[in-house]
Amino acid sequence: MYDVAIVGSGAGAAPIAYELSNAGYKVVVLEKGKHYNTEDFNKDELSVARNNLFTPSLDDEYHLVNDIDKDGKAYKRKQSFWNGSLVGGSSNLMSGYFHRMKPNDFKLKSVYGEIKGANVVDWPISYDDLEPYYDKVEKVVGVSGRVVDHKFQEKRSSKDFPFEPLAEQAISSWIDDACKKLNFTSMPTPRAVLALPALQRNSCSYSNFCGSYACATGAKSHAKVALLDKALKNGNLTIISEAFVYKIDSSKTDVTSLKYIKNSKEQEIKAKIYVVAAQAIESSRLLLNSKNSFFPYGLANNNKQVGKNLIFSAGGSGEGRLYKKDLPKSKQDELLVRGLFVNRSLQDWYEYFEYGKAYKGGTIDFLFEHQNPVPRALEALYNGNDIVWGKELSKNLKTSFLESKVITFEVFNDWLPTDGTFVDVDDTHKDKFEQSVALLSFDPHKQDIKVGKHLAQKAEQVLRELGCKEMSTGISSAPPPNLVAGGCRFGEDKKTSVLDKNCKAHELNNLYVSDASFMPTGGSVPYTWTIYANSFRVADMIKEHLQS
Amino acid sequence: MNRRTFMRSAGVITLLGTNLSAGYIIDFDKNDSFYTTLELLFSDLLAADMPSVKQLNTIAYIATVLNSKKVKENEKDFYKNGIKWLNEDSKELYNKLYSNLNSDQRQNVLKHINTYSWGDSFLYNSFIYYFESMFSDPVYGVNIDESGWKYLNYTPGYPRPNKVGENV
Repeated sequence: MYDVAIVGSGAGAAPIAYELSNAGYKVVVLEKGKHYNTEDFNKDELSVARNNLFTPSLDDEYHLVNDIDKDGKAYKRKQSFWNGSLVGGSSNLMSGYFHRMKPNDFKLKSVYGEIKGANVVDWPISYDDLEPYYDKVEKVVGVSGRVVDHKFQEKRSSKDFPFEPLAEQAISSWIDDACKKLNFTSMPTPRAVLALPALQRNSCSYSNFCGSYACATGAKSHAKVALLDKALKNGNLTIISEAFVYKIDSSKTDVTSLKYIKNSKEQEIKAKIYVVAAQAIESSRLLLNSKNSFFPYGLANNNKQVGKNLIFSAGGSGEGRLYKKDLPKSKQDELLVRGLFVNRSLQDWYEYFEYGKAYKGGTIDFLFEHQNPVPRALEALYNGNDIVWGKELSKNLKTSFLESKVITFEVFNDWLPTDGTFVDVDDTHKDKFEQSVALLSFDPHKQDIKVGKHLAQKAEQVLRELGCKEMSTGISSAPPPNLVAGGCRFGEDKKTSVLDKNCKAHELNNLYVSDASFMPTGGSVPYTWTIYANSFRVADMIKEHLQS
Repeated sequence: MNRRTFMRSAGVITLLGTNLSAGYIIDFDKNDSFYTTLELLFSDLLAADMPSVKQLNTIAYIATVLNSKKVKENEKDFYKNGIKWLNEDSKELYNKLYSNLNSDQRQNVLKHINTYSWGDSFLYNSFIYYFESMFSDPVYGVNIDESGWKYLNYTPGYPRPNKVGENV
């Protein structure tokens, strides 16, 4: 019997595996995807991006979304919400834009008040509770950057980041200049990528392909290279890859075993403590699929809260094209230098006022458009809505690849939790493992768009100041599959939450959920840093639990 | 399925351009009229300074994709039907197969099919294949001598693959 069995191997799982195995406990990690090593990774667009190397085929495994057709008739459509099935999870494929949540994010209801139609609540812990763990992630997992003081800079226990910022493209200083003119405070974006060798890992190779690709040097601070590979050396950690956990068995009070499928065979594992960290949608799905006589609605779900209050990162993105010909001669060649990072963010409107009312705002990150060449070439295929070919196409391609660069911005603001956004399972649709698939429903709150637009207008000002043309912005309520949280919110009230403040299920003595599922609200930043930090916190709670 | 049936079948279009896969380059019948018409089509679509389908091995790449078990049958069928419908359109306008038209006539046919949703999708998919053969690593048997990369002074990401991807 293991001390701890963990479902999943990403940012919510690996800190627990690392901490507990280092403390001498026997830990097993079950991961649905394959176990790759750093030397297996490359920048093969055809395999990784065009053919989705790291996500399952939608024929085998899919998600369903409740939707309404143009005639008003309800139907269910298939959609992929997979993010990365491999050891280390989707942290392998992240861009690693790392921002901490701010103190007010932990008490949204107290600070900004109730919002009609939204299930906003305060977290049962404060920023101060999580701060030591954010700090730990910086040092142990690896976050590079430089602290710049600004209106919403959160309190830090370390003065600056432990690792130097990545090398920057010339555009970064142009953004700084533009922001100065606009009286905005630009700051270097903290990144979960190492600029120099450290933590027994290599530095970044500036390959130009970071987000959506697994790191081929180990510089990206993904869960496998930062934590699991190191933990494997202590002899206490076992990783079972290509193992799909389909059911958690329990008594009335305790989880008794995990059932999983590997090599087409059903197998079982027992432990003292069980941790679910399969990413928000799949974690709720696993609990809902683990019905038994004590939990007829799904494990830990007698209050029917599992799957509820699913949240995403609201906001969207925009872009503008900067042409060489529009720049002074001294800057023209700098524009097309490849590989270096943009790494600029704005948080000036993390809170803002409109007509005397305080709104929780968010974060803007600037970056270059993704460098995958096939989508960039396909964009050049169109003049307006028409496909072009011949000389026109050749001209468009050369303009796109040789004469200009697209600057992109991303907006992150709160996706307010609502009654209508949740995960359920559909017993009439089974995946290749014969398990009911997740059925998603979305009902975004109108304030999400309002705030997103407010932030986007600020980002557009920066692009205009830079001299960008052909600008476009897409702020929408479409849920981004790679920025998902909630479904098993933690809280003090057993009626309205699934987990207690330590992320242990209210109803079971030995079940923890440690991915982003616990988050009742998501802050206005990408989630990964918070997931890592909370998982380190939960690791401490589990240590105490095992010691007692 | 004929062209007009396709046009009536709303929803099919949304499948196009997704999940297109590739594989090892296979042997294929280069004299098959489907492939000879395809080669002529690309010669009409590409500017003189763009890499030819011979330089990129695009036709062989398409043949490989259309014979891959990893590509959905409806996607393959649509692309194969595209050439059939191209010929139907050519006959409708000039009473000749596409390959028997002169250059100006072929351009007119292309402009004509581009006004149809199936034509737009067919051309779009043709360019997906072309660009995949232009930018993919030569390890796939395409982009011969990196001619696609050289055309746009494109530097690939490193490390490059040293073998065909396990999922391709």
